Amino acid sequence: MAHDSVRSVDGRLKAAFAAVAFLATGSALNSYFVSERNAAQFPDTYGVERAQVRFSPLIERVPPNAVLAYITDVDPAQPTFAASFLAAQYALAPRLVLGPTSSQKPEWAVGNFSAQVDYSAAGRARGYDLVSDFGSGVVLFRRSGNR
Amino acid sequence: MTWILALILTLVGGWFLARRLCPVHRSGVAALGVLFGMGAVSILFFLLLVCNLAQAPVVWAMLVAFAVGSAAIGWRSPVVQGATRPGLFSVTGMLACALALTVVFLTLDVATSIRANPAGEWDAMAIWNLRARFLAGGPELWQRALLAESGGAMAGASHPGYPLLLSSFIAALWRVDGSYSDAVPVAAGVLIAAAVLLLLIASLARRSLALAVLAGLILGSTELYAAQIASQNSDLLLALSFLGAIVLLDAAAQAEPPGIATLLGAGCAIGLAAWTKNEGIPFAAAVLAVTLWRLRWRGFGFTLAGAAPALIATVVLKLMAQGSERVLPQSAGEAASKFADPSRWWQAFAGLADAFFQLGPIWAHPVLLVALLVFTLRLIPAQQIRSRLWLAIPIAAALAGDFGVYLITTADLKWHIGTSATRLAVQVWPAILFLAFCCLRVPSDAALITERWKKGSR
Repeated sequence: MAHDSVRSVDGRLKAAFAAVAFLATGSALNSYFVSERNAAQFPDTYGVERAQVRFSPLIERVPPNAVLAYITDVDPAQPTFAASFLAAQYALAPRLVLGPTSSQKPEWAVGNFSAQVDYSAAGRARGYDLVSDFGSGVVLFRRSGNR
Repeated sequence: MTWILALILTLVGGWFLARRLCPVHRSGVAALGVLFGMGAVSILFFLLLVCNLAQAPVVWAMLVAFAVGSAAIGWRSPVVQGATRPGLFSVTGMLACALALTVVFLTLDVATSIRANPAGEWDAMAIWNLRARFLAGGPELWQRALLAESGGAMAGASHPGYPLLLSSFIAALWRVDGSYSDAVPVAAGVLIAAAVLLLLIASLARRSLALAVLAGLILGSTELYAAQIASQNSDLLLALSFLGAIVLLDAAAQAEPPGIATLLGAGCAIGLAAWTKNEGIPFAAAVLAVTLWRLRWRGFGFTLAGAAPALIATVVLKLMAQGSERVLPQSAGEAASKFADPSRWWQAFAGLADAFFQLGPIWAHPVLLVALLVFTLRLIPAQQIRSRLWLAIPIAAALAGDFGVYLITTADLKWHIGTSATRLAVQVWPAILFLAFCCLRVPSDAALITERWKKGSR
């Protein structure tokens, strides 16, 4: 084990060490300020917390092993689509939510809407009937003809 | 809150395992214990899932058996003594105070980020924690984590064959807790980050406590390192595996002959790197190649033996995954045409360079701080540096692996680099810092040289 006694470290080294300590500490403080700014500007950046609250009533209605189709008013080509889809998938897991490219048509579908639209019409267009509107744009659909 | 008990059992088991395998001092054992504990529990939980045995009582039994079994193995192992405690008013003591202040700022930084995004950053939501939720679903539902459909089959989120260390560990704790508490991935992220910092300091403290604290200061102030702690991604876990492997290989190479336990420990670390992220696979392959070169068949054999459990788990996972990576070309011809495009080489190189530039602010850039220390302390003799250069090969292999993916990716290259290059820099940065500090003279030697130089010039 090497020791670094006070006497063995000359003034030039002490100055360099002090500079590194000062700059590193300053950098850590700066990093904290950057995080503070980001947190204030972008709380719940990807909408996960919001999604967990919005989808909680639906979670109580759909068993964990369910596979769900996904119906939304957001165009899959829009950048916001991926974030809203993934936040919904995260909140609903271990239920599996099928993405926009899936050709499967499971019994249940989850609706995730960004605006107040005609949910029944949106479901019908995909072959689903509206079962429950939980508010906040969250809707449960069932495949038409399954009742 | 029963997950806390499961976490304690994990850390106890990991600590005893590290104590048996690693000739680093007490705090280094604790740091490696985090890696080995999480790694072992994740592999054992994955095994229970594959065998359809992952009911909560069985997972509890597995955790207890792991802790007790590791204790039986590691109970009597000698522990290398720690560094002497610096006096409060010594140079090292002052540096330690600066480190403590840095850790305080780091803690505030992380707490702020966690408050804003308790479920972590994009990849945590889209990949790591999402797959953990599927795995925690138990015998019926866990295979959903290996489907291309998870993540909506989208390029940035669907990774059926991604390794599972972090997801499987979090899932094990969620399974016994019966909840999806955000606190589990948060606690795992903080523990992993603390382990990286602690391991860097502990491994360098054997040479010089002042150097070790300086390295800790530079890592602690690295902006990208701080940003990753609250992200709940796998990148700091991979950084811990990389650093652990390099530290243990260095220790193995210093001994004559290299200790079997150290080689097994290094093997565990590289196996867990491959079980953490795909970048760990070229790293593990490169370590095995350099151990064969530097430590001959004996070194290679024990390293491979240590890596075997995690490598086998990785192979099983890859075989079970359904669907391929969306970003990889579908034919050799497509890959070759992308590979032959010189503009992609330049873009990938510039992207990686920019990622390292983003490690910290320009006025306190960590590379600048290391350069200042190189200038004042100077390097150890060239022959000693050359004898350690082989340890940089696995790090270069990990970087080359991702560079190769950038060259052939089918995703938009700017997007691919922009969403991954900074995390690649974080993965290798602690190991690079360790090697850089190994090449510095210790302060007492540097002072001696300055003294001689002054006398000579009089």
